[in-house]
Amino acid sequence: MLGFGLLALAISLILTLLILFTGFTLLETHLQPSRGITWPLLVFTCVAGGLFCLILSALQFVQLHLSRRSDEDSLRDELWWSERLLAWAYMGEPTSRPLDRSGIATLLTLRDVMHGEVSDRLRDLYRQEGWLARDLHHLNRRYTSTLLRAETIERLALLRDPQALDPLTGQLSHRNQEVRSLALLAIARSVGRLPLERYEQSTYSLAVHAALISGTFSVGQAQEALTLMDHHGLRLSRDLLLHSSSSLQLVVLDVLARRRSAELHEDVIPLLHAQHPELRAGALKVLSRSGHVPPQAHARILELTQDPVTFVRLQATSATVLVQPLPEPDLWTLMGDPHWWVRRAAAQGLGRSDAGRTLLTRAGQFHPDRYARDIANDTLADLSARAI
Amino acid sequence: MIEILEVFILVYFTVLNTFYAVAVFVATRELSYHIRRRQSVGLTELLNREFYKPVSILVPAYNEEETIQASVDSFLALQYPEYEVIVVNDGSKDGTLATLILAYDLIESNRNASKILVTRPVRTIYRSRTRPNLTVIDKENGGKADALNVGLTYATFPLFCAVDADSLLDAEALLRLARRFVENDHLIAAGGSVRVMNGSSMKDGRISELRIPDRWIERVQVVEYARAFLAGRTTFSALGLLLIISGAFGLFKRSVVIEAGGFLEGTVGEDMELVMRLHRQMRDQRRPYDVEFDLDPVCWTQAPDSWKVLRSQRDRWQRGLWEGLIHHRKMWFNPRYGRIGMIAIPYYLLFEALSPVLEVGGYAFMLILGILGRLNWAFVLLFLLLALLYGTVVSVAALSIELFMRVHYGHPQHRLQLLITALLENFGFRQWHAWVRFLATLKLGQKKGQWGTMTRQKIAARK
Repeated sequence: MLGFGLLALAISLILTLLILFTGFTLLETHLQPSRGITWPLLVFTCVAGGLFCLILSALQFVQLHLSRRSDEDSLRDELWWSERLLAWAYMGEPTSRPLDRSGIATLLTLRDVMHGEVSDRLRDLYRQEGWLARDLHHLNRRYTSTLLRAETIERLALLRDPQALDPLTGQLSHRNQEVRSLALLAIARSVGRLPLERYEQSTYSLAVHAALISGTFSVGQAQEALTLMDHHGLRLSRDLLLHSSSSLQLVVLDVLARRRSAELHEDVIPLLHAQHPELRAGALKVLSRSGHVPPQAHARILELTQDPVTFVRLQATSATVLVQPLPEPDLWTLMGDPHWWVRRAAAQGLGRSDAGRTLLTRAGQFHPDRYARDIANDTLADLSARAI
Repeated sequence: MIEILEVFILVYFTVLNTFYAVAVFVATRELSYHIRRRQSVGLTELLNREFYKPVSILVPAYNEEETIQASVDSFLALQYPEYEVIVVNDGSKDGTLATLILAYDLIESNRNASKILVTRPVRTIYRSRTRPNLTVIDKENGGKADALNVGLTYATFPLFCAVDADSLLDAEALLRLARRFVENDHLIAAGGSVRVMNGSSMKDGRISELRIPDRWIERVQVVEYARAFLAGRTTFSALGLLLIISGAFGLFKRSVVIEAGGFLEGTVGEDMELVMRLHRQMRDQRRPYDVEFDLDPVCWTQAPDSWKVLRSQRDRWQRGLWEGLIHHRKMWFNPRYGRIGMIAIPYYLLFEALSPVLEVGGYAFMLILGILGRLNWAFVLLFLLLALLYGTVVSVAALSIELFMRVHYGHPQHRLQLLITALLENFGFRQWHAWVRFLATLKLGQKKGQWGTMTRQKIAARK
């Protein structure tokens, strides 16, 4: 890569100074017309400006040529390395030259998409060639630039090497936000995919726990970390559900709903009684998205269909349609709810079963609420259209 | 009096060009970081596919018969994990709705939305039998802002992306921009670059080869867009001064926009006005927030290809700029609004909204001095040459930045043509543009042209 950025930077700085200089000089000569430097200055500035344009234009063509050649080279290198690395991973054939940058990029891509022993061999090659040691050195060194640190963490996240987890944990308290975030995600991704010992899992889950409760990460990043940890993050999720702030409880509920997980229902059910309406709605969403509503939650769910907060009623309705036997009277009432989304959820819920569809047909004709009749008929029409 | 004016013009010229030079500096710095990060293995891109924020894409359409299907196809072809496309037909007089019904096998749906925003009546809601994530809303004509507000009320996801119906969205662009919302809880709006697709080759709703347009008028806009987005907005964003997120491609937090009352009806610059209102609301309420611009997420737009249409577009933009500024005049030079009130708005006021007035005034002033025999012609010519050179340097620098974008003009001949355009736009086009914007300034307060009168070419693959 040509040092174009640096050059453009220098040009813009010089240009700034030149503009200020010409501006002030023109102003001064305007106020004191006897001074005769205007002409030489203007001529000089015009020449300098023109020269800048020429240099920048010429550089564009040089850069264009270089980047084309670089693209061709990298494509060729990638193909070459793919062959060699696959041969090494599957048949143990040694690569004929040490890993270079292109080889590293190819190795990490393959490592990320491959599984099992062959994938681990690629990780071992990375270690053997000294790249892991180099990366860890970059991480442990105090004055590594932010950019290099970020790139190193990204490589380690793809490599998923247990040896890198401790140094990555150290980065969770780095002063730079981007470094901290990348480290969190790299640890979460590694923990989610590596077959770690129970002790190791606990150690790194605790590190993530400490990072999350420190409040230095965004809600999205916390959700992302828990999602990446997959089922290895369940213990951490349980701890956060039981002992953390409502904002982190909401994060966990969101992740559980996203994963459609029923594994923490026992810890989720008490949140149906939470004061915070978003927590009640979040807990209901976890139950409905999992497709399984435990019997001990039935009564509370039906109570929540009367909740004064609309989005809680909506989630309660979604969960109610999973209650067996189907609470037809409650759904009949919910079809007349003032809120369209609640009516729709009730009608769609009924449409899932034969008994429900019969009730829906009856509601379309005999429900005392006009909107309930409408939603029932719309849902039935929708179901027929889909069946066709 | 004449002397004061002369001094004013000199100071104005110096400050404006200094800003441009600083813009090149800041944009280059941002770009340098951006490029090197992008060349890494791209963990963030992998993460994008594992964890994402669902997005509602709002497509307001008015008389877009020629382009609507290609646009909607491109939106539906996005490789984004979870999104919905909501096309709002704002009472088009052509066959926009019929095209949509035919293309996507639309059937009526009785879906209702909460009355969270007051809008013109909705006639019919359609859903597609072939595309489950497509909703088409047919409503009475009420302008772009009203159409966007209807889309907002029917959107179901926490983020919405407002796009123009004549635009193509890059899938990766949406992922990258949405990721910013994952990383930053305070982010309420983010914009990406908008680039000109005229003349380029398309495949499957995507730009497959970027090529320079045939017509001069389109080429000038390539240079203009590069200058405005790659140098200007990058700098504003880096300095926390961003006032505009282009209506062609912006991602917003739906709850915050609804809380602010949605898009303002009756304005021609609803995109800028909304961002200014968001700034104002958040600062009034002393809530932490961010508004950002990302250089490389790209949306492709079809630029006007005739002088008439371009004039109408620039007329709208100029009036929209003034409307936004006047509507929020309370923020002008007001320290309560921090850098937005003290730097961003004064900049837009003095160097954007007033610039055509000053430029046209400057030419008129020169003429008067010439008639009075008080003009040093040689000095004036050199001064104009200087202005031209500085302008060209900024354009050339912006084109240099363009070279580092993921999709760039890669043919040497195309680059040469662009560089020549950057130079030649100063002769004639620049003056014409100033004149059009000057006239638009005189027409302030007129409500007409909220949708413009864009006569679209069909978006189609180039042979």
